[in-house]
Amino acid sequence: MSDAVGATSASLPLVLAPARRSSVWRRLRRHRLFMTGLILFGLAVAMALSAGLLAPHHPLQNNFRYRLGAPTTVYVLGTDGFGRDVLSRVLHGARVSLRIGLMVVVLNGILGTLIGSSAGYFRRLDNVIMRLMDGLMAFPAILLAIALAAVLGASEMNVVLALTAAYTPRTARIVRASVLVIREMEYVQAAIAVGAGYLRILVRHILVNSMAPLIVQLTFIFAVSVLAEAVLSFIGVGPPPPTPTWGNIIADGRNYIREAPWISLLPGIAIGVTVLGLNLLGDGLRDVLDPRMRIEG
Amino acid sequence: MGRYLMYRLMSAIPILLIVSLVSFLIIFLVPGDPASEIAGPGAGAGEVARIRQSLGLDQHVGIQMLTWYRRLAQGDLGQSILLNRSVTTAILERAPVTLSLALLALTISLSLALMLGIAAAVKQNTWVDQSAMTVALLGLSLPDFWVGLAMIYVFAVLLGWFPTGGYVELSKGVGPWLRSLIMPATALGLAQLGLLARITRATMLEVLRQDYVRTARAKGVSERRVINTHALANALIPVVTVIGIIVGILLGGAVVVESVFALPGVGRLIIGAIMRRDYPVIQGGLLLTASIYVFVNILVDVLYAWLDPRVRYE
Repeated sequence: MSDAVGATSASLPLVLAPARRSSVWRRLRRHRLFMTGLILFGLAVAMALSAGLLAPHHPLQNNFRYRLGAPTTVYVLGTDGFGRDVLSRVLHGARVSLRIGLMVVVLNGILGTLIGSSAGYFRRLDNVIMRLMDGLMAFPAILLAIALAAVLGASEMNVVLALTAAYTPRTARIVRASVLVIREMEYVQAAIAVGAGYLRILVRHILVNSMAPLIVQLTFIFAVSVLAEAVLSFIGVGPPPPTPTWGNIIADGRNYIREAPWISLLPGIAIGVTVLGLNLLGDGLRDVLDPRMRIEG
Repeated sequence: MGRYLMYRLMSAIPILLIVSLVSFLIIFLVPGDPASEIAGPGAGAGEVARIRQSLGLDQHVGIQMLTWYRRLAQGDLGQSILLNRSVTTAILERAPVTLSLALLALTISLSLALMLGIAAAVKQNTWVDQSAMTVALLGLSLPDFWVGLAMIYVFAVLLGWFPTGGYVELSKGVGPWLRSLIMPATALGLAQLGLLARITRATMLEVLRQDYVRTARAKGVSERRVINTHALANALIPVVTVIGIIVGILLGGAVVVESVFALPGVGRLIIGAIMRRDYPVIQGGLLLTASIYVFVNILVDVLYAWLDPRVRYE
């Protein structure tokens, strides 16, 4: 640790961090809509985690004697066209949908940070990178995702890749915007003056302080990914059947909407609860972490 | 104003270049050989070679790219493999359906959003505000295709008020045309309600606190008139800016909603192309949709600059 000044300035936020973090949590806890979102999303996560325990049947198990069966005590939410238990499929579908959402969020966060901070920090790259991002953003995101998933072939990993490609430009733009602001801050100038290296400045001084908008954005990306995954599965470019995903189950029920409307009903509600929960979480986080972006209320 | 329009049009050029490049390159993401993918598993080598040649896939990438751009310059998006016509024709034939659907959806969601947003702002922090914003958030959170299915079940299957799907052309009368579009347009529009209603509410709240609104009230203008003419006119400006974004989401959403309601639009064309690996149609559909989106956004920007002279920088 020869760089004494750099070390102090870098450890300063770390000293402050615990106090700040607890106050953020306190404010979040008092945010009623945030807590509602936490409960709703928690419900979805609980479904995913306990699918193995709660599901009364195997999600792929057929009962051809009870196809399109109305809800009974054995099949609480009825059966689909293959005689599979809808409840079990929806519970297991939560796993797939949330797993895809989480993977998109992680990849989106990493790539968005890399691309956005390179554009914001290295001026020479800015123009090239952002024009490229603008070009990608010119496609309606869901359409680009559909086309990519269709071309790559229907699989869970390709859905993740397609959604990441479609939504990362937006994240990159947000990271770039906050890096552009923070790089002009006095403490960054001070770090440069003291002779801190590029990477150190970028990571420890700039990125750490531009996390708030990114966290808010990633919450919304999670919500959008769950919706988009359902769209992709529904039109047949998602994880291939018989994999239970919420979109697949709705697609299965679509042909039996007259005889067995229960098939499509529940997965739609599950999507609604999850996405609503995530949207409320995102709103709450934005109100607390990034109040400038708040939609006034 | 003319200069601003020129500037915006010029700035679209690099974006369109990237859009066309991505649309061209997407076929190279097909794992393995696109020609044998199109031909299907049972096809012989001759059939595969024929397809490869007709798509120009047997040529060097550089040549393929030159051909793609040379054709684009002539408005030619290539030939559909399965439809026996050019991609441009196939898309243009179906464009009126998608356009009607998107415009109707925009109308529905704008009028609902304005009502909800204004009501929420005027009655801020009351149950009216909270329920309006809950409705908006629900619209944002439910998948539009599922809302469409639910509407089919309730209004077509149970009540029999509307057909379960299909499209009636405008030439057969406005009534039947509207009847065939009202459910899909509502399903599509509800999803956009969230963003629009929240922005309307936010700007309305801001405008209602302005001095000129207080002046209007002070001189005895009725509350209804204050809201509908004085406040709304200015609150609408930020709403205009998001219409560009909304159009993009509508164009994407139409793809799925059209397939739920069996509407013969561009969206269903693209889905059909995906199922049957008609790559030229996928490429052309992508390119055309993105280009429309780019130009709508330019239009919105120019409209915004016209409405609010302060933004006419540069």
